[in-house]
Amino acid sequence: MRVDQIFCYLVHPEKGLDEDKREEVKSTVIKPNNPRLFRLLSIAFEKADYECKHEIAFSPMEDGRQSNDCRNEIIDFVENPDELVGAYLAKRLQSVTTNKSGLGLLFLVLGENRGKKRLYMARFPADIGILAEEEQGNLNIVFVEKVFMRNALAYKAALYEGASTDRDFWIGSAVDKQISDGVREISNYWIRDFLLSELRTTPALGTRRLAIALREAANITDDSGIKSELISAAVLARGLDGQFLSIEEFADRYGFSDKTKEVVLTQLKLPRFAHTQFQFSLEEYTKNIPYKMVEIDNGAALLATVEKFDDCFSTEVVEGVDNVFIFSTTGKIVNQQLRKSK
Amino acid sequence: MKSELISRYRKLRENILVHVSRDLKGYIESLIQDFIRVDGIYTRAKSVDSFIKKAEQIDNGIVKYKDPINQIQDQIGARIVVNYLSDVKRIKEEFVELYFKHIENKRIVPDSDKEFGYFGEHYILLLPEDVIDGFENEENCPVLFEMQIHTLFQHAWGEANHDLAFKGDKELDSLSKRKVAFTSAQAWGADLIFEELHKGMMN
Repeated sequence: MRVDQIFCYLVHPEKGLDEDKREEVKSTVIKPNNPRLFRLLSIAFEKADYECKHEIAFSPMEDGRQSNDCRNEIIDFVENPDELVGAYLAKRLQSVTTNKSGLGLLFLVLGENRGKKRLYMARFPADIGILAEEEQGNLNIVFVEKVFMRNALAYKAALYEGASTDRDFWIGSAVDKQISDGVREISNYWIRDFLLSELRTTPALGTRRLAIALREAANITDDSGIKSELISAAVLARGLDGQFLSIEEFADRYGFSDKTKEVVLTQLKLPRFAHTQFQFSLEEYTKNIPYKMVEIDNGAALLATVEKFDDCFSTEVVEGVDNVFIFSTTGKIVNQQLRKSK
Repeated sequence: MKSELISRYRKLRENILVHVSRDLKGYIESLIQDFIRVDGIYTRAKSVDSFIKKAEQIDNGIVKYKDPINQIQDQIGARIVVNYLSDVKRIKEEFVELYFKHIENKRIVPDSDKEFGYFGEHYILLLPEDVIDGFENEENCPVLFEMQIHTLFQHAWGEANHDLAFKGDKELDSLSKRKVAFTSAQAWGADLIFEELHKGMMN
């Protein structure tokens, strides 16, 4: 892996500002003769595959045309790496930056990895600090407002790699190290507004993978403890509509034991789907796990929709006998069926 | 130059596209199994002849594709065939846009309201990870594929028209073109009437 060029842009908040109040984007080139900064960004460039964990993809124009302004600017920059060409990306970021996001430094790091062009973009927010300098036996203290990378772990980043600008650069990956509560914020400011992208995995696809893994895991295991954990989580999951998560985070959120987690994750076609971020869709979830069934050793099977099961059947423990329950329900008969399968 | 391109594409097709196309069919079928009035799922790796014909296209006197292997996006194609026009909309909204990430969507209709020819809903989609993963040569696997949604009549017309287009080198004469347009008009009309009948039965 090799870093070829690094450009840096000072990006002001501009969203919602009158035209006469907008700042010009100032920029500079970071050269290897600035070894500490060059080295720091080179390390981030090399580690980007691990850091940028959310897979994203560029969106088409609203009318469906295959064009995306941000991708076009990225491709221009990759093909003509130049301070001025990169400034278009900085201007794009400035135009979507609010006062809440504040002043930031955007780095564009371009290089190569196994014969492919690799572009790493990172935005570090401005911070405050105190500069203390010893001068002729005195101590000078200066309060500074434009301090960047004070916390080198707080940043937003995106990574693109490809051999052909025609074929590749549709898919990338991103991360927001400034937030800790999932990808909602990143999806708005960094992914949607700046990168004009969405998560690669659609809400329906991600939710379907989760639902099928839970369903299959519950069907495949004979362990009543695992079944119980899975069914509890399957019922509680109905409250997740609209939230961003991965299947692994789902397992952690509902406190799955190691063996339950393992049964769920082994149902996935690819191990990496466990870490894929998606937005939970209740509609899709209900399509894939519509019913809860309890089978009893006397041959009876109780069936109801997941959300109504506990309202339909009341459960009473039979005293003095382990694991034996009385189930009861009340209602009018509206249908009866003979079925081939449960 | 041309023979080198043929050789490169043939190799790509045999080693990757044919297999990915087959797996893509299975993947689409697994996702669409609960949808009603889906008549068929077809996938294909673009034939060598069809690829070369497209690669040689001239646009305003300039070769349209300078790097055909990387620029032609329908090397893998999928088509979902449904019964009625309203099913096209349903599959578009409740299937394709829900489970796939698209980078392009267009409804292809003839240029003029007075003309008849090709009709169809087209998407360029990211090839799903479920399909790509595991190929030894994953890096050479296309990133994108084309998905079409057609009615039965659009499908039938498209197949026959495609077959005629590859029958020979000569251009269709004026009468033949009129005949092709006539069959398209009939298919268009049949779709319209069946849609009305279907809606009538549903109400």
